[in-house]
Amino acid sequence: MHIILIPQRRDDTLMLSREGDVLIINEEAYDFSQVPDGATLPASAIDSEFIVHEVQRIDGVLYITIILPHGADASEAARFPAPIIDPPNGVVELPQ
Amino acid sequence: MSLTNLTLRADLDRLLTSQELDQNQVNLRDILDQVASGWFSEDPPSVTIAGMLWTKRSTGVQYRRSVDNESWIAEREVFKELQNKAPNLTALTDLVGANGSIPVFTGVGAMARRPIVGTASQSGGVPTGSIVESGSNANGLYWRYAGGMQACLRFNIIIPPHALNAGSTVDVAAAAAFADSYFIGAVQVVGQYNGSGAHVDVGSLYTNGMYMTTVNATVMRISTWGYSKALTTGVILNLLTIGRWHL
Repeated sequence: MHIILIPQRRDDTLMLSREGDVLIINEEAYDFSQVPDGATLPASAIDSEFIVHEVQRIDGVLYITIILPHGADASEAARFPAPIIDPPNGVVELPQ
Repeated sequence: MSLTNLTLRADLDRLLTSQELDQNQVNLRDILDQVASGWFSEDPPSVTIAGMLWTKRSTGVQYRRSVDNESWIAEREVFKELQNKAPNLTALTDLVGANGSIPVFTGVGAMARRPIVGTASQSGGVPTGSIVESGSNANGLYWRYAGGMQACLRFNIIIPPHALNAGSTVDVAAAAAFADSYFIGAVQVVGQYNGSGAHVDVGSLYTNGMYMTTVNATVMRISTWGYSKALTTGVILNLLTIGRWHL
């Protein structure tokens, strides 16, 4: 699983954790295990305000783009975040 | 000068410079009220009360002449009296200033110092933070204003090429979230993605048409369709979005 973060100044927060092909966004679980290889799931099919781009599986790897909320005085790492490549199961460490 | 006046002046002098003021002996408050009102009046700048000459100084401290009329005595009690009359002034004098900050009322007799440019925040539409917030991230630049207006800039959006009777859709996330999907966008066409000549595709984009819709409070969708021509190389756009960040 590759998580691409798109930073946005917002007043809400994001808690992210991973269990295999399941991504838990603010305690809501999204199961992407049914997305076959080469397929694309449009953002409109995913009921989350944090997912605004399509989810793809390429060569067996899920690519998920997620909005990363940050505050007014966020760090460079949060405002220009690097992708998170294959995070281990559990809480996903997000740049603050 | 009569003996009565001399005694009064001596008493006043002692009382006004003493820390132990006995309100029963002399109605000091009445005298200070007169002095304060004289201070506020445009004319005269100096007043004579109880046989003494009082005047104002630019430091904001009231002065009066000494009994022997040889020197000026600072009268801080008058300033305290003024503060009692004007709680907002007291709150203002209690503030510690900082460069780029302004004082704001937070209630009757309550003030706070806030940076002009800092974190914009609000409660029930009432600003609780700075006048404007300015920031940037990988999605571009944004400004949030007290009052709710938000503007975002996004640079170098690429509209990918497409065939005749086909289209491209690009979803662009704003640098800061809007309150709802009621925000609008305007584009500036920068040029062709990898062309340097006739800018054929820029013309094709206009011939074909382009439109924008908001997907949610975050994303502006730019759509193109090849009604008359194919888009062969793609076109670069800049996007300005304006809306509100709170209701």
